[in-house]
Amino acid sequence: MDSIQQSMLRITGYSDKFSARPGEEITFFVHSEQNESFQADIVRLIHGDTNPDGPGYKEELIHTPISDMHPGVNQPVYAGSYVLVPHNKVFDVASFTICAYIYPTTPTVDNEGVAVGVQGVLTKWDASNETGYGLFINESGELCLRIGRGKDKVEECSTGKPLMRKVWYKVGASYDANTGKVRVFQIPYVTNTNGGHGMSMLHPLEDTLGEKEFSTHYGVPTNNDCPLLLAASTEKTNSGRTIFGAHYKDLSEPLTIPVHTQKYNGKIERPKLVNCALNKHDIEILLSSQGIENVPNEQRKNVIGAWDFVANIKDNAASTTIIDKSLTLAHGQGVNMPVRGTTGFNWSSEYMSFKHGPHEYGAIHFHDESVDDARWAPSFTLKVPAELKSGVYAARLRVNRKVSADMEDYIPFFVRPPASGATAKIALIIPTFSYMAYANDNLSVNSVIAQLLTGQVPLLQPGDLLLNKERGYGLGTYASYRDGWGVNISSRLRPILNMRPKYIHVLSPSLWQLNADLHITDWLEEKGFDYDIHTDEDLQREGVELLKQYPVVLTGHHPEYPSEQMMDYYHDYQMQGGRWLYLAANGFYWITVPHPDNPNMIEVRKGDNGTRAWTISPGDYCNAFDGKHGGLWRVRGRVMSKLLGVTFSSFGLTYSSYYRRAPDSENPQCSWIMSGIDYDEPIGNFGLIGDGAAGLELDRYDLELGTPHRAFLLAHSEGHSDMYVSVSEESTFHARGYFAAGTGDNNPKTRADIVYYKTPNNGAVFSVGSMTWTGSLSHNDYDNNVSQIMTNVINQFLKAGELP
Amino acid sequence: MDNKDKTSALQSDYAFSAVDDYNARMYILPHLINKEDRDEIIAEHRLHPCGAATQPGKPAPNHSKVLGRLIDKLRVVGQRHKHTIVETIPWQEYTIGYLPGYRGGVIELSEIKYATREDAEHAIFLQRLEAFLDQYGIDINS
Repeated sequence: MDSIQQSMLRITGYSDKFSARPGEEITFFVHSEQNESFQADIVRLIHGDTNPDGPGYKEELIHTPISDMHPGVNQPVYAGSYVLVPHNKVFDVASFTICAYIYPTTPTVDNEGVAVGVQGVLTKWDASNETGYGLFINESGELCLRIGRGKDKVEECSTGKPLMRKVWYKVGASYDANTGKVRVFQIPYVTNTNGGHGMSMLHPLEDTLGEKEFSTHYGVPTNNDCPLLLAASTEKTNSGRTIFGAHYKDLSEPLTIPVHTQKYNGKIERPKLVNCALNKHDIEILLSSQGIENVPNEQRKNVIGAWDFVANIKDNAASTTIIDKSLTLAHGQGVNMPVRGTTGFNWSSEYMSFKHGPHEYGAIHFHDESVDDARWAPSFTLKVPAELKSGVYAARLRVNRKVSADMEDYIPFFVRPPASGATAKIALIIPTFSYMAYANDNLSVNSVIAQLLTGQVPLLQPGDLLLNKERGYGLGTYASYRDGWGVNISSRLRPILNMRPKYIHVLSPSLWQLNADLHITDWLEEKGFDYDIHTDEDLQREGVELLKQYPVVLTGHHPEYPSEQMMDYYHDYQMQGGRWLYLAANGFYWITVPHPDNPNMIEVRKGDNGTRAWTISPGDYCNAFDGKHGGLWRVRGRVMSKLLGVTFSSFGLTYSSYYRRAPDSENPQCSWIMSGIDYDEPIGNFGLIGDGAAGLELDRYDLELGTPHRAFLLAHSEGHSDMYVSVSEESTFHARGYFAAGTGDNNPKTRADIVYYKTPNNGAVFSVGSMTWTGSLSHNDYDNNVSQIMTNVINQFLKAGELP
Repeated sequence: MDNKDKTSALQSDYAFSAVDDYNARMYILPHLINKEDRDEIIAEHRLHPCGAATQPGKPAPNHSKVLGRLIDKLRVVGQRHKHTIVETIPWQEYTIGYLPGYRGGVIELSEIKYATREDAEHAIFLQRLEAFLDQYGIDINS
């Protein structure tokens, strides 16, 4: 056996923004695995598919000042969410009490059976020098108090009983410096609902209930200058990195973050710190309120930390600021986006949203693989040249100027037209929210059913090998954290290794997302159509006015993750005479919310319905970023067929098929679309994605689901294999022979439909209902019937006035 | 007692394993005991290891029911040491990788190289089939 490192990617990076206009700057952050220097160049990406059966890889070198050798540095990512409360002398205590409610999700091992190790709950702990104090879960899954007085002078007092996964506990520990008495406890708190899908019959309770007292005479904890952390402890006080601005908008100056360790998976609620040893009764009172509302006046001054996770939940739960209700006012910051507004120990199911019952949503869920921003040191900055035309570009990085798959990486970015206005009549909207949703899915390794979904063994490339080694690169919304909870937040401020030219994606026989969207740019270039590029984020910010600059707008091949505002803008564009080509399938499917203060992050919650990688926990349906119901757009009355004329019906992430023309295609209002194509000619029985134009995911018309009543069916696909299955929302019962739950060989709804309809003010929509349509454009040197249909549609759409 | 402790039949998901074993013995193994039957299934896999696109006017090239059931069974095994394909030279050379079963682990690579992805897929099928038959005391070569 060889080691992985021989063929693993040795360089990668990300940029501070996805898109820029000429004259604007983009900064790139590069990691060099072995600290090797690298050559950086800017290239225009035209065609990213390296398949020898197609036109081959195409890029164009752009001469810019950044073309040079650059020093390379290994830059780690410090993954894992936690709350950071800056060091404060008031935390240098002698006697103390720590208490909270906790809901551990990996008390000893993760979902893969891997030991998680020690996990910090509330710590003022220097893990390198073993000083301070903290409430932890030890390697055996027992709650424990640690008092550190220097290297190898650590006392651990544990309950001696293992915590159980998905059970709420009242936990705490106290230390009396005068008597040396230590008390530590974990008391299960189980109701009919608060465990979510976990049990409500915990019997015998003694299996996990632990209360112990100890005596110690080694003295008080040794003070340190570490921050106080929730859900971790401190390995190094100063990581050299800071948080400030964007989603940390409440900070008045940059705040240094530590290198953290002993990361906790699970929920915490009502964490409190007191500078004396409280008795049981007083702890009970302290935990009975979010802050210190119920604490008797004579004891208020003793409470030196009472973090109230409900305090700043309003219309959303997106703030990173964690409010301290004690007299200390030691407010904290959530780093790496811990999940806020999640069900608490007292969740009763009376409320299904933190907006309606915030007092039952006082928990924060922490995950040790979360990443909001890699926070790498910048490597170089590009000022986009004034004359650079709009398009898809990348910073190409080559270790020591070597050209091989493991020595080369690309950081894609998108150049928009100048602010003065459009430079073309066609706009291609790059579905960057979808790229973020699929970021680093790593499904070959993460999903036990990946090989069933795709009908083949996944192919790994050098970037996949790096991604698997670096579990800290953060995940996307197709993965689950190691505690089994779905990943609901994705950031682009870290390498996204499956968003690259030349990349072959696990969910496809070949391409998916960015690299497949380059099939469109290549075809536009070959056919001589000028086009401008914008991203989802640009549309989110600028609205329908952006779209209205263009008589023709194109989607990418899989724009699955739109925001509410984007849905509105596309609808407004149609109403105001826009002409739109939906070159995709399974688009406009999941409710997606950019962070209100940082558009580099999105949130997606996958509810009980829909074809999904995971299912949200009971009560957690609403997005933290906007407080609205998450899941399918369909459940909020915005099924995609209202916008596209077609709706997601089936999928098979394997080989493709072709289309047959339907009678509407001969209607005088439509026949121009099929000009040059015989009626009996199969359409798209070729292509670079699964060898056919109808494949991967398929959309069909449905008048019951909002397809406009004057829409035309131009063509439909046929012959999908039994690998193609219905989407779960299509079938309320699964019964053998019931076609709604059938497969390609017995369900007539397993098909892609090409649908066309007119909209007010001479607008129109042309939908292909397949994710592999664009992969067929280049066949036979771009001379084929898919390419012909596209040419016919775009040429007609570019003509002002009434459509035929 | 931690949830992950396997101290009872229920905790170790005994029923799933028992029914899975029943299904294998009833519906898959009878087609694999006879070498001629087995070779026929292997030959079918060799022809289209990953399926193929549908040609106009023809039925979709589905795997036979027996092969479909077998490869689904072989593909759904746990992630630890599960086979994957690693591209060593784009479009020219492939090898077999063995997953660590958890993120952050090392993927071990075989030294054997394959000229096409389909060759690697078929080689994996044979390795998995051999291991599956071995569980039931059947030698793939006999």
